[in-house]
Amino acid sequence: MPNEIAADFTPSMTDAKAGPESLSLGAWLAQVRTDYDAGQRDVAHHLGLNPTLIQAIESDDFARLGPPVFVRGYLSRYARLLNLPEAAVLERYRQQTGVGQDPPPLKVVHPRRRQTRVRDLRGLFYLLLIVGVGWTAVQHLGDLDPGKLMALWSSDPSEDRPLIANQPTTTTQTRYPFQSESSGTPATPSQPAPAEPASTPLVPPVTVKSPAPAESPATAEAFSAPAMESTSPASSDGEPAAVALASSAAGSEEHDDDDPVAPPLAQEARLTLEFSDDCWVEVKSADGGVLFSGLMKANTKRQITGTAPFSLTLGNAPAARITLDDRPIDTTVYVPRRGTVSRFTLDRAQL
Amino acid sequence: MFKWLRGKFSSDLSIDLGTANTLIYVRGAGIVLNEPSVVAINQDPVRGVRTIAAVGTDAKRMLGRTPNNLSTIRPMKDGVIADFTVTEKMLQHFIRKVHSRKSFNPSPRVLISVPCGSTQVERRAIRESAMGAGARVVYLIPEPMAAAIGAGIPVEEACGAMVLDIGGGTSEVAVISLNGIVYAGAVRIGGDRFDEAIINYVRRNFGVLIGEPTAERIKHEIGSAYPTAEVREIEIKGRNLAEGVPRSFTLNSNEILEALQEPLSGIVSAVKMALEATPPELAADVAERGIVLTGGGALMREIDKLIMEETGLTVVVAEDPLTCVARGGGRVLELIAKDERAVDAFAIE
Repeated sequence: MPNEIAADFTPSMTDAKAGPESLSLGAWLAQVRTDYDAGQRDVAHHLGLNPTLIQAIESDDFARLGPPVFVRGYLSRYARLLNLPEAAVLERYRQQTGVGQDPPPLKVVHPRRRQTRVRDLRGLFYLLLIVGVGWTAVQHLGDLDPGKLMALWSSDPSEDRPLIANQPTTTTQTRYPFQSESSGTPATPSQPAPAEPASTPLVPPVTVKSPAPAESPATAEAFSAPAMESTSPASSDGEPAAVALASSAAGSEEHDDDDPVAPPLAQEARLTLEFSDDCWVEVKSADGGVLFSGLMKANTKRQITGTAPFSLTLGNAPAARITLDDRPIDTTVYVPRRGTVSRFTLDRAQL
Repeated sequence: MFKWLRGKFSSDLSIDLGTANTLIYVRGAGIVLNEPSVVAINQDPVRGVRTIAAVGTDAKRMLGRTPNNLSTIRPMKDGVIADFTVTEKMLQHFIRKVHSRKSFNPSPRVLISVPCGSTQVERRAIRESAMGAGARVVYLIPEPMAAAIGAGIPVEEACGAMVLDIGGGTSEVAVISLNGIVYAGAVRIGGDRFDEAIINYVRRNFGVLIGEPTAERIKHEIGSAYPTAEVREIEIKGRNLAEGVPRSFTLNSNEILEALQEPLSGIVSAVKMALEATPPELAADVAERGIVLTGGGALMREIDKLIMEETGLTVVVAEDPLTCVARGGGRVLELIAKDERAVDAFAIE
């Protein structure tokens, strides 16, 4: 017990307060301990420390004792044991080792985030990006034609956009190529053609021959040829019953007038419907009577005879393949831009 | 970028929101406030409106001496908020006191130490209370971690260190290594329980009722955790329960030691449990270096000796143990100002 040690020894006041200047801290503590007639082991036992640590303290080897917080604690307790003033012992320790009040700076080990500077710059980068995009948009705002945008918006997706962009007013979803006479829109040679005219034998916007049951080879070729190519040979050959489609040139109407075998408009016509997928169908004749109404299953075919023009409603227009008097009709132009339901009128005179 | 700019102009605060005392450390200025966590509330008898009459030291002077319309409240209990509104007002008062608003200073970032045994609800209450008091950002750090940093323990080393922080409401023991807490335990025993134990002892053995301030004075002057050859005495006054009149009598340190046996044994048990739960390598480090005591309870006489005798390990008391938590939080704030990655370390939330 410290007081038991101190009971037999009363150190001089001068030494007790600050210690002899000539002695180091360790030597001072060792001297006082010796005055108490106590060994290092006794002190170690009282303080609960390893005797090697007491030896390190008395030999001023403070680095062996660990961080300063522990050294100060050991010295404080040692000073109390020897009845020495704690403050004086700690002050001597500070002077001797140069360890200040402030502990060493903290360190961050194993950081889980990226470098702070990079994160700081990230906000700046986003700001510059937004400003750049905005500036570019403002610079190119004048180049944008509102007419082009409107055409793009209302165009048929099956048509090529450059063509649409050139003639935005002649082609819309609900304007059928063979109805140009009624609409009064002037037709031009650059009328939009189907997306794949060569692969599909459906050529509505062309000048075609009369719907005679026995077609000549030239007629068949005219069906399979692209729109622009098929118009000229048909005219030049002087074939009868040529019918101008909605988009065809006005010249082709002359052929209609000259053609003596052009079929009358109100006449029995044969409509053939083929379906690659299930489709709801309603067909009305010219007088408004319903010729057929119902669901057609996939891979089925139906022939309807009635007075043209026919009013058709198809629930699944892309799946339909239509022939009128054995002449195929291009159904792609009837496919709506949104959805699959299509309503249109087919007339033999428009073939 | 704006954060960095704002950080340059704001004075960040580290707050040790203790049950007994609140300490505030301002980055770059050190400890600037150390006041009791006591609020005096004035109740208007006519309108029934409650207003703050005094906060801190002024309020503590009123403790136990108030008229009917005044009441003194300790809004913190067992290290956590007991009265949310009053705590918010108290924090607001303290922050206004230390945070200059003259030069359009932005709101401060605040780091608050919380007991490691506190629940998420209790932590959220502390965070919202600080936000309500005007903080811009609130960080929460476990008290033992802040105490270890404030004591100067090299927490970043791959070496275990045990710290025992005896506060006003709780005592917390933790084993720390590599900037993290390996083990943490807390018991709701602290300075308040010591005072309570003294009051109960005096009433039971002397038949005299004493108040909390008197019990605290007894603890400071003659309190001891381990028997000593030197016996100290103190003369106190209280109300005799049998006679109903004030009487004075004398208490000595051995009697107080007897009174404190129960709370002290609770703290010792917590330390022993921590040692049992510590991984062997870290336990070896603790055995080699010892246990560091922080908090106001570390100032009790011979408490280091008591723990040393009970555990067989060296125990050292940190320098200025009362301010260790606030200083530790301040050091962390200074590190955050330099390197924001520090937010991810030290178990900060």
